Amino acid sequence: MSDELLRVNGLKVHFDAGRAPGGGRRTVHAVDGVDFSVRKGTSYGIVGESGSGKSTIAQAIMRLVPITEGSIFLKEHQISGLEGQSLRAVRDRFQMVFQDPFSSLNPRKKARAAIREPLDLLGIGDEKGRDKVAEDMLAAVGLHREAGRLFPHQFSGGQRQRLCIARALASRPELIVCDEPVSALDVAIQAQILNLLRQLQAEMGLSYVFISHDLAVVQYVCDEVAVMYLGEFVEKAPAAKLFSSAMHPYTWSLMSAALSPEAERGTLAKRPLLGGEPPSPTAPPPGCRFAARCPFATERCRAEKPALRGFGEGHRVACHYAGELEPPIPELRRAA
Amino acid sequence: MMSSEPMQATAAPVEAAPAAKPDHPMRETLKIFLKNRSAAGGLILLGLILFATIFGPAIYGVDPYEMVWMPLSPPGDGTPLGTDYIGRDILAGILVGGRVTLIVGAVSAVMTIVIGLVVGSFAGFFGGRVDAALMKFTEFFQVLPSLLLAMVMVTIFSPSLGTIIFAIGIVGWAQIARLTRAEFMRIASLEYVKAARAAGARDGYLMFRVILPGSLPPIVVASALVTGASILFEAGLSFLGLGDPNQLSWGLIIGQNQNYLMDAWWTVTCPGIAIFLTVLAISLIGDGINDALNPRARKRG
Amino acid sequence: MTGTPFLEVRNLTVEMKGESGAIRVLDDVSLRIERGRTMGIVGESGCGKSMTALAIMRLLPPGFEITAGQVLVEGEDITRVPEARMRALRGNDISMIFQEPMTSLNPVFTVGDQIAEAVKQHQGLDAGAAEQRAIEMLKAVQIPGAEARLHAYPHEFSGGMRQRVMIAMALACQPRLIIADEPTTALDVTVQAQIFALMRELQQETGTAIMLITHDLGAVAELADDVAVFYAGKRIESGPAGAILRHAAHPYTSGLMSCTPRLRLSAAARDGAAVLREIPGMVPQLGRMPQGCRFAPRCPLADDRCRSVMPPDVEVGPAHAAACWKAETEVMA
Repeated sequence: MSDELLRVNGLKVHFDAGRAPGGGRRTVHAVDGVDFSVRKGTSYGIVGESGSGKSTIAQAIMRLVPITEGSIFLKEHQISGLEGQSLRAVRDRFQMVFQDPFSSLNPRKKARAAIREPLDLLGIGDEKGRDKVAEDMLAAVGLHREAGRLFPHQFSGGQRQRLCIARALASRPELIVCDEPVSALDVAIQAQILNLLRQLQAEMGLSYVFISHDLAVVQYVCDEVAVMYLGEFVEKAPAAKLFSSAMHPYTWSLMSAALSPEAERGTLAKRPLLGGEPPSPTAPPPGCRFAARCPFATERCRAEKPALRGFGEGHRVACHYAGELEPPIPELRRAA
Repeated sequence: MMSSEPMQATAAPVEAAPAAKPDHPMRETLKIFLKNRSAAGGLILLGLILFATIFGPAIYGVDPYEMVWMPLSPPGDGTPLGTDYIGRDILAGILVGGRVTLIVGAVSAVMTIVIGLVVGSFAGFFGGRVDAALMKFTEFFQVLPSLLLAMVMVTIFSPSLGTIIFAIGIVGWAQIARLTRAEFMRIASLEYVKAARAAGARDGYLMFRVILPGSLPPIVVASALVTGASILFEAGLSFLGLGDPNQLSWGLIIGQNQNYLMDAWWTVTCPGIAIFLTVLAISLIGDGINDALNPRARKRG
Repeated sequence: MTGTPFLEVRNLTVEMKGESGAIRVLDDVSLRIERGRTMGIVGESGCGKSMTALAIMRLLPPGFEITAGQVLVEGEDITRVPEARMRALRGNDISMIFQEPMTSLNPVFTVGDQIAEAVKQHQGLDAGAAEQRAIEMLKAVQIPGAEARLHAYPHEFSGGMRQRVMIAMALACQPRLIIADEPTTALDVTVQAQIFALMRELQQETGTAIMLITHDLGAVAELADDVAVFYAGKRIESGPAGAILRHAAHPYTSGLMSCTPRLRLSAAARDGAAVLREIPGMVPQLGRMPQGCRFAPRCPLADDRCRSVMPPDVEVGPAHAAACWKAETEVMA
C-alpha cells in the first residue's frame, strides 16, 4: 500500500534471562516474529495479556530495546538499522506515550521543559520557537498555556497524561506509539484521554500504534487490531472484522472475559472461561503456544505450529482449525 | 491524594490561569529541612565550629606550639581548657588543629564521593559487562581492611597531609559507588528516562542531566555520613601516630596525650569532644537532609 | 431486608489531621451490608472507597481518625470497642483481600504456614488441624496439587494463583464478611474472570457477605447485589445493582456509565464507534470541596441550589437513594 507509514517485518526480541538450571543460557522470547504495517492516519491496536510481549513491540519500535531479528521501516527509513546520530535524525518522526503518567515525567522538570525536551535534544528550532511550540502543545491537549511553569506533581493523573501527549506531539511526529496510555487512569479521565487521542488524530493526521490489554478500549480507538499471545500474533484483522467474526479461540476467551456494566449478574459464570495462566516465554511449547490452555486443542496443535492464514479482508488467523470451530460467543455466531 | 491545581482539562478548551506559583522541589526540601529542629541545630553547631576554627586562632591569639603554662595544669587554672604534657594550651590546639582535621575530612570526603559517583554511575547506567567489571573492582576495595590499608600507605609514602587524604579517600568510596549504582539502576528503569531516550537523548545527557539529579538525594545523605567518617578516620590515624606530625590536628592532640589520660583527662577529652560535636553536627544535618528528601515524610504531589 | 444487617455504617465521618486543620476524607457515609450478599463500592481513586474499608477494619493510616458516626457489626458499634475485640473481629468475622497479591503475602513463609497461622490464631486449632484446614482451603480455591503447593513460597505462584491464596487465607476462618479491595485490578482479564467465578462460587457455598471495592462498573454488574457509588468522600447513590446500573439516578453515576467503553461484538462492531461521553473536569481536591453538591462543578444539570446547598439522600426507588436535587424517581421500564 502506498499510504503505509510503519512496516514491521519478522520482528524478534529475545532477552537473556540468566543461566538455565541445566547449564546454558535461558532466553525469553518476548517477541517472536511479528509482522504488521500501519497506514497513515490510522491506529493499529495490539491486545494481549501481561507477558504477551506487546509492550516490547512498542519499545522495539522506539529502539529502546535491542532488536534480535527483523526490520522496522518508518516510510523509507529503516529505523531498525539506524544507530547514534542517524537514529536521532529521524527520532522527531516517531514518539511515545507511556502507561504511567506519574513515572514518565521527570519530577524535576517543569511542564514546559518536559514538552520542549525532544526539541532541545534533537536541536529543532530556536529557544523562542521551542517555547512557543510547548505552549501550543499545552493548548492542543486541553491544558492552559501558562501551565508550563508548573512541576509535574502539581498536575493530576489525567493532566499528566495530557502533558505526556503534548511532549510526544512537540516534534510533530507522524507516528505515536501509545503503550497502555489509559490503563493507569480512572474511567472518567480515561474517556477524556481517549477522546483527546482521537481528536488529535483527526486534526493532525497522526498514526498510532496502540498497545492495550482492554479490548473495549482498543475497539474504540483502533482501525486494525492484532491479538498477541506469548510473543506471537494469533489473529489480526481490521477492527470491524475482528470484533464481528473473530476466529481464534484465544481472541474468543478475551472477549468472553470482558465485563460490561449492562451484563446480568453472574454472566461470566455462564461463559466458557479460560483456565490457567500463560506459560513462561522462556520455553515456549513446540506447537501452538496457546494449545495448553485452548479448549479445542488436539494432538496436532501440540505438535505442529500453526501459521497465520488469510480469511479475506486482511483477516489472518494462526489456528489449524480456524473457521471450523463454533465460536462460544452467541453474538459472533449470529454474525457468522 | 489528588494533586494541586484545578487547572483543568476537558478536551474542549481551556480555563483560567493557574493560581499556584511554581514551587520548586528543592525549595520545598529546604523549607522542610529548616523546619526540622535537630537539623537546624546541627547546622548552627557546624557553623559555630567552622567559625571557631577559621577565626578562633586569631581571636584567641595563643600559639598552640608554645609552652605557655605549667604542663598538665587543669582547665581554669591559668588556661581555659588546661595544658598538655609539655604545657601547651589545649584550647589553642583545638582551634588550630580543627583546620587540619576539617580540611582532611572534607577533602577526603569529596574524593570518596567523586570516585564513588563516577564508578557507581557508569556501572549502574551501562550495566552488563561494564557493571560486572566495575563492581569486581569495587568489591576489591570493599574487602580490604581499610584502616590497615591506610596505615600501610601512610607508612610507605611518609605521613603528609596529601598522603593521608589520599589514603582516606581511596578506602571509603566503595559504599558510595554501590549506592550510586543502585540508584542509577532504579531510576534508569523509570519511564521518564525511557521517554527522554525515546525523545533522542544521548547517554551523557541521560546520565548527568536526567538520572543523576534524581539519584542525588540518598547520595547527599551518604556523603554527609562519609564526611563524618573521614574526620573520625583522620583522628584515628593521628591517634595511632600516623598523622602528619608537623600539622596539629585533633587526633594528634589526643594521640600525643594518650598516656596522660588518667592524670589529665582534659588533654584527651577536650579534643575528643570537639571531634564528637563535629561528627554529631554533620550527622544531624545528614539526617535532616534525609527527612527533607524522603518522599514518605512528604505529602505526595 | 429487614432486621439488623450484618454490617451497618451510619453517618461515618473520617478526618485527616493536617497542618492546616482537619480535612474530611469521608463525609457522613451510610451503608448497609446484608448477610450473604455482595455490596459493590464504586468510585474513582481518592473518592473514599478504600478509606471506608480501612475505617470499618479500624486500620486507618496514622493521622486519620473517625470523628463521627458508627460502624455496627450485628448491632455492636465497633468504632469504640477495645483493640483486643477488634483483633478478634478482624480475620475471624471480617477479613480483607488486597489489590496487590504479591505484597500482601509474606515472602519468607510458605503459603501453608501463612494460612495455618491465621487459623491457629483465630480459631485455636492445633498445628495438625490447622494444616488440614490450609489444604482444604487451597483445594477450595482450586489450586491444583494443594498438598504439594502448601510448602511453596509466594514467589513460586503466578499472580492469579497468589490472589487465590489470598482468598484462601481470607476464607480460612469462615468470616461473615470479606472486604475485597480491587482484588483483580493487578490481574489479566482472563484471570480476573476466573477469580470472579471463584468468588461467586465460594460465596454460594459459605454464605459470606462480600464488600467489593472497585472502579469497574463491569465488575459490579458481574458480582454485586447492591451498589454504593462514592464521589469525593460522599456516598452519592446506593441501591440494588440492577436499579443503579439500569436507572442511575445521580448524574455522576450515569456519567460513569456512559464514559465506560463497551465491547461491541457482532453486527454492532461494524458501525463506527460512537463518541464516548466524558465527564468534564476532575474530582475536587480534598480540603477544597465546593460548598453545595460536590459534583456540581462537573454536572450538566447543576443549578444555583446545587452549587450552594448540599443535597440530602432522596428515595428514588425501592431501597434506592441518591444524594441529588435533580434525582428523578425510578421509572420501571
